[in-house]
Amino acid sequence: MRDFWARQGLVFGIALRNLSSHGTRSLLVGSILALGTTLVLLGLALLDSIEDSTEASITESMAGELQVYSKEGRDDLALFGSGFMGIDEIGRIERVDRAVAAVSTVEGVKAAVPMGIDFATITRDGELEGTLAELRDAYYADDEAEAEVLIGQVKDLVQGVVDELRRRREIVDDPAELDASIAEAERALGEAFWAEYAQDPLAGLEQLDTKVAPLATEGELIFLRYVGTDIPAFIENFERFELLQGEHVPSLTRGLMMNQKFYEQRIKHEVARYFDRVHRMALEQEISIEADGLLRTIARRMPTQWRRVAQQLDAEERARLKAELSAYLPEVEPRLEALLPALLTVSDENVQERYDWFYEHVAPLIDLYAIDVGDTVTIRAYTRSGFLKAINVKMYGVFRFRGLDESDLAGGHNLMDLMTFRELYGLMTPAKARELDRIRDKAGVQDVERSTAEESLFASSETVVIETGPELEGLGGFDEFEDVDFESLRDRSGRVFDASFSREDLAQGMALNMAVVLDDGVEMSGARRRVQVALDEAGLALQVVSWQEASGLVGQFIIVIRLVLYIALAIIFAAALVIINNSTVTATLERIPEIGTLRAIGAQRGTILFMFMTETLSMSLVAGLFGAAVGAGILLVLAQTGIPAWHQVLFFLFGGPRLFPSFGVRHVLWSIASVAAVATISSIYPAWLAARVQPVEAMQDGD
Amino acid sequence: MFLTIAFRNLVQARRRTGILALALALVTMLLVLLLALSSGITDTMIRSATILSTGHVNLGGFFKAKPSAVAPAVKDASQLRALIEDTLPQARVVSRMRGFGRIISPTTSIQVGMTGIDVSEEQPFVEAIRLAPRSNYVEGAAEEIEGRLEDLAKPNTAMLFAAQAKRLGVQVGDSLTAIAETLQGRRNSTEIEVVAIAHDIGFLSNFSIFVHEDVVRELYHLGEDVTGVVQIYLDDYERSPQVMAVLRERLVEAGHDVMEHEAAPFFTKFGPLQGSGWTGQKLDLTTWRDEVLILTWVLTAVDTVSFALVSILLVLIGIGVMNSMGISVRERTAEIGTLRAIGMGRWSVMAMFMLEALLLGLLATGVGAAAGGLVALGLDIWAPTIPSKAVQAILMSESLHMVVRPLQLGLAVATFSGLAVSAAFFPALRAARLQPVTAIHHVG
Repeated sequence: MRDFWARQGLVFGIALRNLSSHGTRSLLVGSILALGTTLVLLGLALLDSIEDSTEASITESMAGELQVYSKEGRDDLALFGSGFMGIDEIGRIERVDRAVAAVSTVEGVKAAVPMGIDFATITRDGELEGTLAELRDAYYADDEAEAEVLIGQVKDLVQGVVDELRRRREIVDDPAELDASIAEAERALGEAFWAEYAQDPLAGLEQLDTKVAPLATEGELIFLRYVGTDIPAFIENFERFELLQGEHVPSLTRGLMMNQKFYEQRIKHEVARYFDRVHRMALEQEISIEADGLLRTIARRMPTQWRRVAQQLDAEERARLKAELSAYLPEVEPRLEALLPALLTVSDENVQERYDWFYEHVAPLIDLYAIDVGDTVTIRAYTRSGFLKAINVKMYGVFRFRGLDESDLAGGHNLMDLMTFRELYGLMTPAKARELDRIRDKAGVQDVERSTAEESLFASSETVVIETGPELEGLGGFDEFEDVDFESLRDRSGRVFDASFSREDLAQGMALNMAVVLDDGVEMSGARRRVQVALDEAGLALQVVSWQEASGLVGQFIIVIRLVLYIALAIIFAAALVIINNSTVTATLERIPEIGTLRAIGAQRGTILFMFMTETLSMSLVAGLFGAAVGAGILLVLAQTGIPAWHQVLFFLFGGPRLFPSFGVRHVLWSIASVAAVATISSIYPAWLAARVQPVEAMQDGD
Repeated sequence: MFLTIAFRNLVQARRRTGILALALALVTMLLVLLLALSSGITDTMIRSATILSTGHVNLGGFFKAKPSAVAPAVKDASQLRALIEDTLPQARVVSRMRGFGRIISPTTSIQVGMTGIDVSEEQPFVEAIRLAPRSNYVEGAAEEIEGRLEDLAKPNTAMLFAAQAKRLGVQVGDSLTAIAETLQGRRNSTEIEVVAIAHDIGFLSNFSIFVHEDVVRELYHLGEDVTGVVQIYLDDYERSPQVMAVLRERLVEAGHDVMEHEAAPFFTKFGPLQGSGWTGQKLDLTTWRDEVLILTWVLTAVDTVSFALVSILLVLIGIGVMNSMGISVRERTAEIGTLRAIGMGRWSVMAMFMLEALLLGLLATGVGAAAGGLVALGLDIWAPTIPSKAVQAILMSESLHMVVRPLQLGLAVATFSGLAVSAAFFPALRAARLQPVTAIHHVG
């Protein structure tokens, strides 16, 4: 035994000597191996970091580890969209309570949270509408001075409407119809109208509200993507949820909570958003305004947006801002029309300063957010059959998912209560169904086929403004308009209709999908099988998928990147294999005399083979360790500085402006092992060549 | 004579050269394939985009009745077309309406861009669109094709793409409701009849349907002489920027108000325009590249990955060539000594080795490039269906499309041959520096 080890030691010694005596060759091969190790380590660690950040973005914000949805849907569940602008048809979980009950008892399941993801729009009020509402308030408050000011504003705004209609005349198909509208609006500018108004302000307001305000193209349309869910259960089970402003939606109450990212990027004042974006790109991502095309475009657009600030100021505020701006920018002509664009002209040098000045002096004067916590918002959505539905809900608060603030995936979804979701989705609630049945029994109305109901709506005239269709209420089995609260639509300060609901309604209704959150450390595929069994046993036609599958294209995207990395590494390894093999073969040929001598003095074939393999392995270990050290060094530096996302897609992949990669022992081991494997494979042939050498060849001439 | 020597040497060191040449050929082939893929994506992108949403140069514009009301409308369309046709008599010009809204079927609805066309002037479009067999959108239906694209000439008609039809659950002959959502929150609706259902064009076609131009006019109450965009198709799309500049000059001369050029798709311009103060009509000139700007990240990604991969391979191959030439120099030291002794100059020795590397490089990369080109062409003809939806989305096509450009073949050959020669530089230099006397004595 001792002999054996002594012999191995000797062989090892020869191997090392060979390595050092063929310095250049060893260095070449070694550097290839080291480079390979570095690449593998970097690739694997970066990919895993990206995958971890994506996984966290998805599972810890809203998906859970598993998702349950109907087996009968036409489309696969895709939490982040499937590439259509519209909603996938994924079927329904008909009874939330049954699905939750079946799943929650499964071992390893922490909770099941029912959901429905949908799109809706929020329309901001037009200026005229808003001013009219204020005027109405002033009338009720008997504040004549305020009313006077507001009437002045209303006249200006109506003049604006007239101007707008006159311009529109240039492109419309039916100028005559427009002329009638213009006449209508002009009437509201005449003295006769205001004399009448003085007599009966409410009638005048009604006239303005219903006849003139609708003529203006007003307001802005904001798309809202939301998760309708049992909000208290959601908050309890998604630990990254963090309230930033306001309060949680109370249990069993309708309400909306906005995601901070959405709030900052959609609801915030446009000019502030420009500043935020430029500030972030220029200072956090260190992109030069001068050099970068995209940022330059954004910066160039900024000064043109000054009116968005100016139009929100009253006379006093304008005067104040003008004075402050003149002091700040003395070289600019002292008019707001010149000062504001000048303030909004940013360059690499002044961006920080302008940003600070804007937030200190301008932001307090303007409406920084179009919707504030506590406001009631009108949400509109198309139901499944394409009808518009509007519901007023209170916006209770702003939240974020901790650590995922920058992630587009986690940041794109707002929260809504499940009942409001169901109504916007267009299904009847049990209570409503009962009520409808009662009405039907009483009136003896026959069920109207949904399709014919639609025809009766659309076939009648080419152009229907659906919102003004309350006459449809009498259509019996037709639930779509049942809930549109036309009164409160007009009256923004208006009450939200009964905002609470019962636990039974919540439990016995439908949802589209259900997030299953697992206990820490529970293995996913096992849990998935158990959940499926539980659903089958409960007789529910529901299926379970992993978060990767549920995330649609996003999850597949990561798989594609992984695939590309593996293919690239495989190609690199193949090339390395050839090069190393080539170099080792030549080296072996050179050493034939030496090998022959060894064989002649009694070395067995196995020993020669072993010697060659040892040589390769020890070299790949040394090179591998070196390469891994370099890779680890790079990763450690990157973990401090972060890798900047220089492209929008990377922003998405990195879950923010920078990726801070991390790596573990397994990455290091994998990288060294894979390179050692490549080295070993590439030396099999030369080693076999060497082992084949006959002792007699040693005696022959070296050539 | 050098050439003969170089060739003889290469043949002599057959095994070493062979493996190296193989590696070189494979890597060249890989580069050619990657380049063909990248060109294929560009080609798909241009083709899809020019069918669906953009000309090579576009004369679009925005009409603002008040500062915050932006409509993608261009008035006096006939006059503008006359100007374009006068400036560019060779170009093909079509007018299209731009709209955006919701399409509602009895079962569901989708949100899409609605492109209003006059099918009588869209001959190339009609030729480029392939109608889909019923089986593409109705589960278990026959392979027959229904409908005719030419029927888009009738009022209130629409052409959908197969994925949309499947999703909406409609067939040729069914009718749909189109609702236009203007940015101001107004909603107008109209009925449209499906007259044709086309094969999808990558995933891009999910986002738009084609309708009779008057459908869009009606939805937005636009007059006869108003259009959305005048799309201009050139013989050579690479000339787009120049043509755009010429047009701009002519338009400004004719007294039109043309917006400053901004490289962005038209639908991203609404927000910023709402905030700017002007009213009335402004024209906007863009190239196809501007309109597909958000898609070019795919190209950037493919090119970046290709570049990184090829760079690493370049380093590897470089090391390989250097190693092999080094050995060659050592083996042939005696020969070099003899050559030098009989009067060959230092630089000739160096040239001999470099030539050897060049020969190796040219032969191997030539074979590799040819093989790569053939494989790419073969793949393009075969056009295998891409299995993953995500890859389909990335490549913007359901099947693999590759384009081989001779210039790229040349580039690949030149790059790797150049590399082989430069990698041979140091070994060759060492050979050139050898003293004839020491060299001739060298053994092994």
